[in-house]
Amino acid sequence: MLAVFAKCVRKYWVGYLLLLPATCFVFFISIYPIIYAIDWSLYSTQYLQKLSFAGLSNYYEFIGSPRGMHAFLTTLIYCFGSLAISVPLSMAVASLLDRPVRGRIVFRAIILIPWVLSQTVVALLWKWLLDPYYGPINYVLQTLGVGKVGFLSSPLLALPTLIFVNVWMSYPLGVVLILAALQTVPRELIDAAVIDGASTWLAYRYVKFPHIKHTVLVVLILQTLLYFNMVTLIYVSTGGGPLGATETISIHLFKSAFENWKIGYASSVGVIMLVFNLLFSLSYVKALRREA
Amino acid sequence: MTLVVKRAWTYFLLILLCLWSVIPLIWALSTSLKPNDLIFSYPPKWIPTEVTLEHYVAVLFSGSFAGSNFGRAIVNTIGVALITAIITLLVSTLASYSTARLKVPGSNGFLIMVLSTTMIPGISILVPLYIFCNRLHIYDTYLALIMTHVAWRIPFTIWVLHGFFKNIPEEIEEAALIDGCTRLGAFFRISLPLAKPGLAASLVLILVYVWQDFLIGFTLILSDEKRVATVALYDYLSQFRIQWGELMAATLLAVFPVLALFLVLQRQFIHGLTGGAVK
Repeated sequence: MLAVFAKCVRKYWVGYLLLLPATCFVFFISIYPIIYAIDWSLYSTQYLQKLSFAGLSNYYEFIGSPRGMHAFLTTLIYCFGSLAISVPLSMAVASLLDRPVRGRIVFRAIILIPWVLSQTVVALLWKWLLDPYYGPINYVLQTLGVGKVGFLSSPLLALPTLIFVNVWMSYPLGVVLILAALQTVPRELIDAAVIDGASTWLAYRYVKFPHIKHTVLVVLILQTLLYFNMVTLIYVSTGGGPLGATETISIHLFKSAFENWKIGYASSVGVIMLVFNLLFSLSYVKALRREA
Repeated sequence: MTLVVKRAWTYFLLILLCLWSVIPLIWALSTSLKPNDLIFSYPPKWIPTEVTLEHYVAVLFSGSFAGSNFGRAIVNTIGVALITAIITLLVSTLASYSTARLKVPGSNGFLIMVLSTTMIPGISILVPLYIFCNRLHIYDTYLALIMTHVAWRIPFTIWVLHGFFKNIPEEIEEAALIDGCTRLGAFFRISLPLAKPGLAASLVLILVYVWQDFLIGFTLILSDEKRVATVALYDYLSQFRIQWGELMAATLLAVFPVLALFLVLQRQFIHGLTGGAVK
């Protein structure tokens, strides 16, 4: 009896020991920082010093200030603008690749290239392509008589331009996922619909779409998460400017922390972002459950 | 007839999409190979009339690239990526073997806890991590950089490896134990070799993530000589006068390894990067 018990303990002891390093990493570098951020978000701070307990005033500062509201609105436009283009585009391109084409793998590989580039690289490539003085796009516009356009330096155009670049970079993920879903639609179902006289569009609408609906939902949520938390692409392209035109919540947090050193305030924005992320993620888990 | 038209239209659209995907890279390549006066020529030329490698040489070997040379930044990034990958794979293998095989009580709770940390956005905990590193006097060290990368890559890696270990029939290992193998021996001789595809896929993903990272490298590293590649590229933008030929050469050097990996291992790549999304 005792021997069995001892054997059990020894067996589990090894198991727990194996879990220990991973637990330590995840706890100290992912979970504990959240507690820390909540703590700091309740204090007024000066650089890395806590000054005094400030209650929720950091949160009020974000919600109540014009700059905070502006960041919130910019984030909404950035997310919805990008989603409104990228998701339909992903669906369209996936359908295109689902047609019987020769060299599908080659086409798919090339279409996917923007997605494997880092956000830093994407920002630099487009900054140069859109350069007002030496970029080819402005040359074309100029020969058409439009004149030089400072895409990233105009307060009016910077946000739409970033949305465009963001779509360029991120829509391939949707293509891959939706294409995979399309290829699982049973061939017989489509053939039957076509024999019954359904047009391509009707076959898509009533046979294929119900099949890929959940995948589209998954893509929608994944992209929302990506766009909502995005820092690098925007920071490298415009730094949140000009005149705050591209300052989303995440950029606002980043600049408040690492340019203005408002650590307590930035922590409170971080907590707000975390809450949004949890909501998005829970809806993601729910969407996956429904799919399965 | 309409079928032919439809076919032609499909190919036309696909070719257009492909062009759209690669045009920024082609323009960058063209710029990086032109001598300076050609870069600023007007109208812009897509195909350089004169080809030079001077920008690549300057970027890799001279110290002119925003404080220190870019070759150094690339070596730094490779080092950080490899060490991160080794530690992450080691820690994740131990943990996922434990959850999938040894079945200690609470291993499900452990998996849920680890996986749920993927919901935490990096940007939310960047500030606390910055404070930690300052308090622990490890700000501006590779240690801080690597530890953070490891912690952020562990959840997904454990998830992948757990799946692999779970799929190896237990009987194989039991047979080895009966034949006189120790538990450790069975692990090294049976389970680990069978989980090799999972380890390889995870390795590639970790390397790519670290290679692409800007946020952690920007926040936790200060010195020019310790910079990673993406941060070196960014720093170059703040130079007084941007040398676009050099910047595009450096950008392409940063793109090349990931692009090559992607084109060679396309299927594994797509499976790996989307696997976590649809499971």
